[in-house]
Amino acid sequence: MVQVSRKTRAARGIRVVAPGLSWALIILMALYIAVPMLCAFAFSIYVPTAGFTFEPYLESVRDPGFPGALSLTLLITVLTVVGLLALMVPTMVYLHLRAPRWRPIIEIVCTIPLVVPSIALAAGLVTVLRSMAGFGRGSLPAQVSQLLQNPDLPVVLVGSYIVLTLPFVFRSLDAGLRTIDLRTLVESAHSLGASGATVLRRVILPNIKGPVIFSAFFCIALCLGEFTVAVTLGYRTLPVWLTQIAGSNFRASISMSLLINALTWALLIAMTVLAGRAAPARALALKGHES
Amino acid sequence: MTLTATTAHPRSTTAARIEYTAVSKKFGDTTVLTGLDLTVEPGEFVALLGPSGCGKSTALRILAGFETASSGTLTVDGRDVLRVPAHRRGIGMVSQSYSLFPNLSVADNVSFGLVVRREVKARRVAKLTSLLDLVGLPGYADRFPAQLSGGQQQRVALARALAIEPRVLLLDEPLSALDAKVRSSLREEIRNLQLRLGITMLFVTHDQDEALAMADRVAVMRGGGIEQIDQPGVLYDQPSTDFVARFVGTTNQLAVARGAAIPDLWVPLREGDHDLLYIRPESLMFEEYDRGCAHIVSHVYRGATTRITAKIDGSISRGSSEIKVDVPSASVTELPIGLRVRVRLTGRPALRVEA
Repeated sequence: MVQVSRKTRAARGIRVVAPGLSWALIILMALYIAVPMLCAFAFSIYVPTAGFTFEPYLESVRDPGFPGALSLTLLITVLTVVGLLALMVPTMVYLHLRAPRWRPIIEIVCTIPLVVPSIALAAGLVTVLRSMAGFGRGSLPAQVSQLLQNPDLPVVLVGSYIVLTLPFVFRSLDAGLRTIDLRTLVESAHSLGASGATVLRRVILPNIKGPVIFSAFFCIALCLGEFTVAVTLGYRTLPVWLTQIAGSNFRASISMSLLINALTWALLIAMTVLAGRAAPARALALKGHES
Repeated sequence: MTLTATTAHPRSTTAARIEYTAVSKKFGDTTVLTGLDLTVEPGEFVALLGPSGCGKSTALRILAGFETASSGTLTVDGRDVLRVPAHRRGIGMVSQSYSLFPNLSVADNVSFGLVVRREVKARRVAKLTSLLDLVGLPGYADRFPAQLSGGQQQRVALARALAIEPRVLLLDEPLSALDAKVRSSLREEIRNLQLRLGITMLFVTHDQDEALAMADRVAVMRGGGIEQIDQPGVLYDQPSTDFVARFVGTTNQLAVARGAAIPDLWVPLREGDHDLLYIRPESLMFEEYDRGCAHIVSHVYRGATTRITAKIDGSISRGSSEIKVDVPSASVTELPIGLRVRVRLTGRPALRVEA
């Protein structure tokens, strides 16, 4: 009897071993993430000479560079998310419907940013922008170069961030489109009288909501934290401003980076909740089967 | 809500006439349709039947607007539709499976075409109710596709396609993903619905039973063109080519001397010029006979009848080496496996060709 039960337990293998091990792993992971943040938090609110205080937070917000850096970063973030989705969703749908043979090539192209260090991307951009400006004041390339680098609306940063998110967004949308019977759905919608834009809005988007939300979140996280390209091209985004004030007020910079971190986490949680709501049909279906 | 008898069901008052004229389709080097000519009369139900790769689905998809034609013309009620985009053709379509929008409820799926057309809500609701009644799913409006069986999903797809009151309804193997029982009941329902609404229907299938049972006329397709188009009975009794004779129903191919009269008792022809007779299993009989040319090898019980197969002795150069005959199941015991038999013709052959 005992042996039989051991055998069946062994057959289930992982399930028997897992609970203890998985909890250990989760705790280890939580510590790995939480300890540095808790230390930073403690550092930011405890000043040895003055005791507990929120002064560093107030200082960081009061810094004259803060409003500009924040608004620039938010502007870039919004434009990047909109640009990314406007570019990638129709492209991926077209790829799946009309040009499946091109998929491997596009996949490789979209993966390149993953293997090219962002400093190389930034250096390449600087070279190109400079050589365009080199055509001389008033020439078309110089004007384009200037337009791209407009300090109030740095198109070049938006473009760079779109490129940097491509590897993840490609995979996410690709997987999402594979799970639905795209061709049948699109053709059904067409035969019911829906034009291309209506099909995209009413049929495709709702059925790849999860991957679209993931893409948007990933893009937001990248825009809030990207440093290399922004600093190389000379823009004062939030992370760049943060490293600059770190020299003069280290405690304030730590408190600000904690705030950004918290914002990112809040976004992640919000997105996860949204994505969970994105599949009401499935949840309902499960409930229906249970009853 | 005041629903009169005429608005209760979306009767199609404008059943359309479809005319394919020399429609060809090439994908790169392969020709899928070779000058297809086909006319479907208003209110007619035509099935396109053929093996996979014969071009039947492509013919349908060109009419739906999902493929372009390489050449030829295609008109609906005399108007050329080839340059009209799919979403403006007003042609309904039900495809194989999984075509319902998974994120929308049954009600929203059925109303989709009406919402896109900006119909007023009161009319949408009235139509939804009558359509769900029509396909036998009243009370399912709030379900989601994942909660429905395959047969129910196809009914919803049918209601959804009918909601836009299409001039033509296309069905692309709508039953092939369903199990046998649902398939046969839905087959009848679709036919009844078509008769009731008087809508022009074009139906693609590789299942000959389906085509013969449902359609007014069946077009047997082969290699991108129509081999024969006729009423089911004509197709079965008078196939015009050996391909049709073999593809539709079961046939035995018996060789007889060239030009010879059709014999009562058939004996294998081992040499010389000959013709092939294509004979249905119900037009033949086995008789116990000690010096018969064949012996019985198998019985397949099919309910009222049993299909008995006999193997012809020795090798024969032309025709079938096995002969299949349907007999009433009650008389099967008279023809046990191993029994030596001769073959008697009780009906006329469906087709005779020079071999």
